Amino acid sequence: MTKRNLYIINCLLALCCFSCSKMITVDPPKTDITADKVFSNDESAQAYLSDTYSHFQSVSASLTTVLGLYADELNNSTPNTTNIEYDAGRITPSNLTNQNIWRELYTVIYQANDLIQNLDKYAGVTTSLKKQIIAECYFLRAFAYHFLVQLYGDIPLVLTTDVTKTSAISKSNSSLIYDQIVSDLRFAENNLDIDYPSNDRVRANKWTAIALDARIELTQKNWVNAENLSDQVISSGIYSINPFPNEVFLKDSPETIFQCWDEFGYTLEGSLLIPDIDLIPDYPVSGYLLSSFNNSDIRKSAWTDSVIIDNTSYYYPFKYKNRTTGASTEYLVVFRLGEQYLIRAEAALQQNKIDLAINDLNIIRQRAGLLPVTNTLSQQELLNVVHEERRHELSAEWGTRFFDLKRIGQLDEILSPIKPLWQSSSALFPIPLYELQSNPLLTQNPGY
Amino acid sequence: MQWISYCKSRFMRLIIEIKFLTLMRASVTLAFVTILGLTAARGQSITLSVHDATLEHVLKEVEKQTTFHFIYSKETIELSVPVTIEADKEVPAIFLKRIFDKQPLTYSVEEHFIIIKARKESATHPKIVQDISGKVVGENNEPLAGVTVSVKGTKQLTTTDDNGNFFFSDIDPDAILIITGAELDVKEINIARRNFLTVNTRSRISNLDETVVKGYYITPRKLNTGSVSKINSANISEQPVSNPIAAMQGRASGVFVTTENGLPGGNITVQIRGQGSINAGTQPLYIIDGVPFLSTPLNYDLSILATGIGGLTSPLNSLNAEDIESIIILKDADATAIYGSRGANGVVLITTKKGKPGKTKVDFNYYAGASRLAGNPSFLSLKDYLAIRREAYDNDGIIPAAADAPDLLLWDTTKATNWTEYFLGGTAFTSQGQLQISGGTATTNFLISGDYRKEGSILPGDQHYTRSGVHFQFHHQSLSNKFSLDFSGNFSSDNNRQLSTSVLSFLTLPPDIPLYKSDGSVSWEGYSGIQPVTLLSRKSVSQTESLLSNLQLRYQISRGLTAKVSLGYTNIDLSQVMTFPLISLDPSSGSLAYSNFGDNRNKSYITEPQLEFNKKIGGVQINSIFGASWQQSLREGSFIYATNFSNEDLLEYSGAAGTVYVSGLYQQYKYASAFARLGFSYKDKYVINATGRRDGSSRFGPDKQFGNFGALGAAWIFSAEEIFKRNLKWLSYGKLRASYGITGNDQISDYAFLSSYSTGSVYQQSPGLAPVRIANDKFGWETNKKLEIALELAVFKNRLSLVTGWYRNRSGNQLIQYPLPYTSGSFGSYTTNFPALVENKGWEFDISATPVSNSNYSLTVAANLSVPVNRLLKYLGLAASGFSYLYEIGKDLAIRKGFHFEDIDRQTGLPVYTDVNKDGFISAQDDYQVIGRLSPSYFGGAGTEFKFHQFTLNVFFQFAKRTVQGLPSIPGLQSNFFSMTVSRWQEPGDNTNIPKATTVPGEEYFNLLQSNAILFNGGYTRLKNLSISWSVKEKSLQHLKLSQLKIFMECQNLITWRKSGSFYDPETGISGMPPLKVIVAGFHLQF
Repeated sequence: MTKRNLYIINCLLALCCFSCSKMITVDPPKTDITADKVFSNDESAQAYLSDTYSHFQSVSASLTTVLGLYADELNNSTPNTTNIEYDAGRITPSNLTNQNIWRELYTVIYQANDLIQNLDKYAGVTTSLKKQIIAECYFLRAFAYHFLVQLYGDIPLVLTTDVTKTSAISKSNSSLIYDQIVSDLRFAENNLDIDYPSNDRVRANKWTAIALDARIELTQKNWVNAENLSDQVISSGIYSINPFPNEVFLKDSPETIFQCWDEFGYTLEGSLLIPDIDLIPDYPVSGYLLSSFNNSDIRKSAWTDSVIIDNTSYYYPFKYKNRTTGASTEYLVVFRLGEQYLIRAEAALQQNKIDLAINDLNIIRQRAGLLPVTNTLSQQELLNVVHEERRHELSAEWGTRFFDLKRIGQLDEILSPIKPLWQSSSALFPIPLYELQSNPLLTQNPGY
Repeated sequence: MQWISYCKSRFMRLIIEIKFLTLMRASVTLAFVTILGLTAARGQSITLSVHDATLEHVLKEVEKQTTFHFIYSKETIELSVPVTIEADKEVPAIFLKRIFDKQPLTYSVEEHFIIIKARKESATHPKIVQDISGKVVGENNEPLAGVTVSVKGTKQLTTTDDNGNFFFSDIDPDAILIITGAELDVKEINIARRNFLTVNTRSRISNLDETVVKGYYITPRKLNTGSVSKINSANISEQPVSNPIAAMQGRASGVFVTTENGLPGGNITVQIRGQGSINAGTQPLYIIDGVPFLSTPLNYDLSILATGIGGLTSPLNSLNAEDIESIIILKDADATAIYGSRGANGVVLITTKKGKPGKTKVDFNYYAGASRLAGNPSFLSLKDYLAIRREAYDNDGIIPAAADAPDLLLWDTTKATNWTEYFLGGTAFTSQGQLQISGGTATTNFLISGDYRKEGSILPGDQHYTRSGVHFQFHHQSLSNKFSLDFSGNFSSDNNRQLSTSVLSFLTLPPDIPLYKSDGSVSWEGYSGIQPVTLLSRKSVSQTESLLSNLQLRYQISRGLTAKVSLGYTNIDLSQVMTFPLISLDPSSGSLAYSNFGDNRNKSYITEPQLEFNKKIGGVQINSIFGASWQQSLREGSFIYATNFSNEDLLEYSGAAGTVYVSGLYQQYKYASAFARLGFSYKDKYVINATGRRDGSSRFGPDKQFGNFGALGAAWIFSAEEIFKRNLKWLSYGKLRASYGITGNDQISDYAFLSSYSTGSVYQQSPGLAPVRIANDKFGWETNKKLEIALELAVFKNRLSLVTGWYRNRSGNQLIQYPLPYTSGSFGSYTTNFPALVENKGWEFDISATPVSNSNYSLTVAANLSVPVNRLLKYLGLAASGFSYLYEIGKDLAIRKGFHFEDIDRQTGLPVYTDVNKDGFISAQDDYQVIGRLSPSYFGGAGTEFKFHQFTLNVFFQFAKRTVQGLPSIPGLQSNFFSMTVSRWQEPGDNTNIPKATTVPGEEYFNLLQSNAILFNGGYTRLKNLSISWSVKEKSLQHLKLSQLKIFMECQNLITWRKSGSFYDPETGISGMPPLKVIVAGFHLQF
């Protein structure tokens, strides 16, 4: 090839490159919505946020059922292997429910990160709305991480959507995760309004973030903070204890701080826990939980129900009354005032503020139709009462029993005798097999 | 010595030959004695008066009046000019001089003989020119139209008319004519002063002189540096197929064609030199008349539309095989690199028929025939089935109850339905007619044809396929030949009525399952969800309309420099309706009648300006081309699921539905490139060919859109070297060629680099938005590095030719759907480049021979064989990835992993598997191993054509050695199995590979489904095509005013030989409807 020919070819190629980029610019797909449209419009940005909230419905249903089985709340009557594993006190890395919980929570984190990153990048969303959505995303991210860190211990801390970083990421120490949760929550608290962004308390307001923060501080044994934060929620004046236990989970309950909206007026919990006519419930209440109730406890009759099949009574959780569309609308309750009273009670007790603790405890007991406790009990005895109260008040809600046993350090003591495959390492769940296979930097939790 | 071949009598001829020898010796002195001799003759004289008489007439008069005899050849005398002479008792010498002075002839005298020869041109003579007319005929003396006749060394050129005639005026009397035709041996003939010539030609034995189309340029086959296979129109039209791609099967080495579904419109996949991509597409690039065509099945993106019995719809079905002039397959880097990024999987160039100058011709072609399933799978008879069922209950120690064993206790065990026969036993009638008109002059010519095809179905009920199409081609060139224009178009419309549900799963129904209840109503007992009788009411109607058009303009700027532009437009639309009437839905499900509506519209434009420059510098011929290409495609579709219809009769109208769910599809694709080719050849011995292309594709992110591709090919025609010419006389042609280059692949979905969002969960009354694809703009081209070395030989005057090629393609930077952890969101996977390397290498052999060829009969034999090897060379972190169950380093991509099923335990009758880690348990994690592979070990085809006078017989076999995937026998279940199941284990000691019958199969039975028991030997040889034709002699046609009449019979997939024990069709396996056996008869008329 002569120099001249080379020159001509180079010129041709150069000419082409110069104009080609434009020639191959394509219109965005009309059937999909691209990032620029999502993040530059009030409605679509809110729609994306809405989808992020909706993920907690399935997280809640999974945690309530399988953590109920894993701890001593529920029994299993399904032939489902994944459930059988939870019931036995040991799950395998390939357990699909475990994978779904992980997936849903990290999906929330992805979507929250996506919104946080891109709302700043694109213009078009009203400034006040942008600020509010971002604050909600900080809350949602913290909420997801607070489950993940308690279920799995050390986990990848993902704060970006950059796939090159998120697809090969190693675990961070759980203390770092807690630091992130707290910092996210502080951001949310400072940026969220006291008013709810929409009707029905189905999106987070400032008090929602503080309620979660109180729970985190309790878990972290930061009693002062926990008391202080739950106190802020209780004394906000917006919420009040619902005197009728049967109505605590209705959508208009004054006790609800934050709930998840649902389309048909019944929760996934309702459809899973309440048996179909003449069938054995899939998740009957265990004898341990059932027998621990005081007979005069209204919560036993209001929040459980029973069905008799072949002369055997089966009790099942009955906080949610609708298994299909029902007469009154139920939303999935995420945070309610009852928990905040119990947090304040426990935090106060730990600081030896006995009277304050007893006062809070009795508010809950009173609604349950139980006699008030008196200050004749020791601090430890009172602490036991608080824990027992939590067991009953928060039964079959988000797997609280499991998290409480873990927090108090009673997992092995209580579960080891009753779970055939229980080991101390069962306190942390295994990292899902799929996740290990697709993220080369991830390591399995000890014992699996 | 041709000139003595003509004489007055045989006797004379003998004498002349003897005399002639003497004469030769004395030739030097002869010139002097001629006149003297004549003068000395015995006082003879000639008296003659003629006007415009032939020379021959005059010579005869001379012979009468004298003792002289003339000797001349026919050719010589034809050179003569008319004679006008008045002579009264003239001396012969004077007389002859007077005559011959005006003739282009000379004469000499040997005793009584006068020998006439053509006059040798002398430099001093004024230039003599003459006219010549002639006729070109073929081996059977049939006139050949459209043959190019040129005058050597000049620019004069013409083509023969319809009767094979040609004419030149004012040419050199010694001019040499060159006769060239697409299928003819090139012939050179000296006109030797004749005014009329009949040129006998022979069909080409060797294809070395033909040209090879390599996409943007053409090169003589002799000098071709790349790997190119060609299938010509004769081989395509002798196969009664509706999809022209089916006609490629077995015809070209390295090209593996698989029918996915044998029903009309069914998809056919083509894989050229193996699977190079793990995840990205492996379809070749189809180019029809210069315009890229779709390779993706039309209902691919709306996959629910492919769930009907017809499966995926091949876009190439809209082409009529009869309209195709040739299919060319480009394989190696040298041939494909000019297609750059789209050449990785090979290129299939389809050229449609063009008009030819000559008399306006009308062709009519019609055939009709029938097709049936090629080889029905054979299942257990009712008797055997029931025996096995009872035996299973005995083995299990269970007493059958009506609820579990209705086939034994409730149903009529004397009435059997052969389900294969019921569903696939029909005969489909096919007919196709085509009318073609063509003609024109050398400067302007055209072809237009219309066709109609109707195919019935082997399925029960009213299913049929119709297609009608129009093809046209128009050519014009200026008188100066500087400008030319070609315009072609192809329009077709088809309508395919089929069932909207596949019937394959019904073939295993128990033979005694009843269709009707005793009261005559349809029985649903024993069926899950679908019932055979009512299934027939589920209709799928798909309509495809396609338009392909291409305009090519060419202008010769100066000698050797030509500018060209090619513009193309294609449009192909599919609309499909699948109905599911209430009657066909399980009454217990409570489902409502519903319909699926799908629409897929594809549009594509392409513009390709090009500059061609050819020049000879010294002994080096340079051929070059520079061009650019810009393509824009749009694929739009919609899918509607409609239910809650007001009226069952309106299921085909979405407007009548109470509830509809709509989803859409929108894919835009743009492509811009610049390409170049530089070819050098020296003395037709040494050839170098360099091609390059820079491509930009919209499928990649902003920084990764462009890629460079290119190849270098070289050839050495060693047979042109003196040393070979001298020493290896039997070698007619020998070439060694090699090529190396890089091609790319962008067969991934559009917009994969763009993050996108779609409808998510409803929250607070309004639908949410959820991410569906993660942004990754960091992926670029998959690159395929191709290496090839080949030897091409032709021996014994090209009667035997052999091409042996070895290739090695390594495909890296793999575009794969890489599994993503959930920490990256719940996307499952994303498109990215992955450092995996896939190698395809192999040997290819093509052989063709023409042992006999003459005007009465000829025999040609051709065969090809491909031996491919596919290996995954590199895959980072395979063992830890989710792909570890699919692939293994060093193994074929089409391997299957599973348990190794060893045998049936002779004592227990249960399957035994290899316990790889010897822990006493069989588990997927520990005991999976490679159990086989589905890609072919070798494949090829062999065929022969035998011509005897007016008869032509074509036989073509196609074969492949491969494994197909099926279902193992689990005898005893309420489901039928292949007839081999009869030989199940029955009592201790039985040696069989079919387990004991049981109604409660345990894990060891289900493990069969993940074991080599699912793999069947799919090796086969198929009599792919058999065709016989008889052409009526031209003479007998003349009074019918026909120029051609041919009667033919064609058979496709006539006989299949396969290994016993293999019950699946060797092509489709378990997954699709097997190809059909077709027999048609028809005729071809030409006016």
